[in-house]
Amino acid sequence: MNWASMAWAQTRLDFTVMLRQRGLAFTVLLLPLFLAFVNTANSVAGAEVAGAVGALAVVFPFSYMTITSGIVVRREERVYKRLRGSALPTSAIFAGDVLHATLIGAVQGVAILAYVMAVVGGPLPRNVPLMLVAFLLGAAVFAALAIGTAGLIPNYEVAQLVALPVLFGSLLGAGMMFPLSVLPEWGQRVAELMPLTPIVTMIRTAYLGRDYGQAAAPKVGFLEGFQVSAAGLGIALLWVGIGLWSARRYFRWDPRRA
Amino acid sequence: MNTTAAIEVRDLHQRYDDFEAVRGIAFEVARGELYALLGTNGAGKTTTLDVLEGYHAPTEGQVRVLGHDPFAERAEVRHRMGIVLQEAGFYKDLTVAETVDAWRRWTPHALERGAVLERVGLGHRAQVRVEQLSGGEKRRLDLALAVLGRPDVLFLDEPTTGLDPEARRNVWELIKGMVTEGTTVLLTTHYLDEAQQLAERLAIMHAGRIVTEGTLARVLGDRGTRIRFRLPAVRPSDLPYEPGLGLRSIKLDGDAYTVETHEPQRDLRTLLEWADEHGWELDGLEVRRPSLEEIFLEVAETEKVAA
Repeated sequence: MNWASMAWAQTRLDFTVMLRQRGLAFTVLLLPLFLAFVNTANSVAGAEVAGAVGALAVVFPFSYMTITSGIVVRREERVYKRLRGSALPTSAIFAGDVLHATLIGAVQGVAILAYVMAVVGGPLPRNVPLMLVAFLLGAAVFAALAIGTAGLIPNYEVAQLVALPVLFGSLLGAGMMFPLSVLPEWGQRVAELMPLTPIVTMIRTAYLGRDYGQAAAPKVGFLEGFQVSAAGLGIALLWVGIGLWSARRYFRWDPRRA
Repeated sequence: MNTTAAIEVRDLHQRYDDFEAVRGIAFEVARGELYALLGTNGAGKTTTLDVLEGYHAPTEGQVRVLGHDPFAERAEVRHRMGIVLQEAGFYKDLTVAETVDAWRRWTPHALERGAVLERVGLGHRAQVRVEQLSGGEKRRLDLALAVLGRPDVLFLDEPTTGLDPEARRNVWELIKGMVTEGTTVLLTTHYLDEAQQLAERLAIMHAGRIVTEGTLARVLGDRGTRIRFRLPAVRPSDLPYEPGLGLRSIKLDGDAYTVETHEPQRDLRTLLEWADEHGWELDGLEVRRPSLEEIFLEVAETEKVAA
């Protein structure tokens, strides 16, 4: 019995448990699709495609919510304590929980992409490898932040409350509620440093072959797409680092109410 | 350290913030032995188990399970240990069968689902959601998951607390069966009779220390049955007792007497006849074995005097 099969067993278990809780399953599985739909429908004429592509990034804050609330519930109900006393390596428990949320995000991403191409009239993605990099990076950022902040969240109710500002903050910062250009200069600088912003920019660049890091969004080639995404990559990795640091500092397996 | 022992604890101290839950204990459990840690709440039993199960590194001292450090070398031992925690959660929306199946996916050499459920007496409840199980049934599911991987060492933290007498006896039978098959068991309990039923050796913990350790006979030592009553206006020397065979001690606290004896029937008869002769009423008369609580307190008191 190897590590991968143990982690996969944990992932499967997370899926089974999620599907048993209808309300949670609805939120986690369908709400991101709904938000993506609204986001594309509301876009100004001519900007539908850019809006739609940005909507792909909606899945990451939802992954954050799935992972934090999962961790908090299992910790407070002492399921983690039981799991850690089993034959499972600790790393496989983490991996299973992260893979579960990431797989959901991947399927949703593909569904949103298909919708964008079929209904909104989006073209085929220009730079698929960059898109994959952006997806994995987004998943890593929000998984690290989820694990890093779970230790600060006392219970499931608070986990639900925390998820909302994370979601709206991410959407605002990524310019998905209104264009960032309406913000004052300093506001734009701050927004650029938010966790989701570089991911959204990178996905847009990958999908449409333009550098959305610049206001004029000039066309970029395949390799150039990676080059112009370097700064965003740096910001995203910084957030991964912050998440991991916070996890080391604050993560706990035992209930807070112990 | 002795490498043939399944569990070794040496000079273990465990601190949480500024509270020292375990204050320097040592014991060994041989392979295939059942060893019981007794103590009241807060004695440090669960903390000791937490360290042996690899949840925490010892603050001070050394522990070994099957020759390995259970915290630093968890990978070496995690599949060889079975753990029943005092309190642990289940995925309450899953059925019993789904729970066991999930655990089987990451447990090497796992027993068949049917076999393990039969063993703990939950075979007929396989399709029931965990949430709907009774307290006793949940405890049996705890045990099922703990023994699933045929562990070499089984840790049981108060496995029968909250169970009815029949369920307790069933759990005892299961534990005895495991020991017969060669499993080493470390068990904590509040109940003296549980230790009497199961343990070859035991330790009594009090306030983070082991105050006495050894075979049950040795630990209970020569503590006798207590006869208690209230009788004002007599002196201890008026009582119809001669120091001698079987009579351990007579204590007076206010007007309350406690006579400790190994011959309760003889000494009670003597007392009742004597009281009848004088026409006295023995107020609050009771005859009983010492409670674990009393033994703890006595043992702690003796230790204090000795130290």
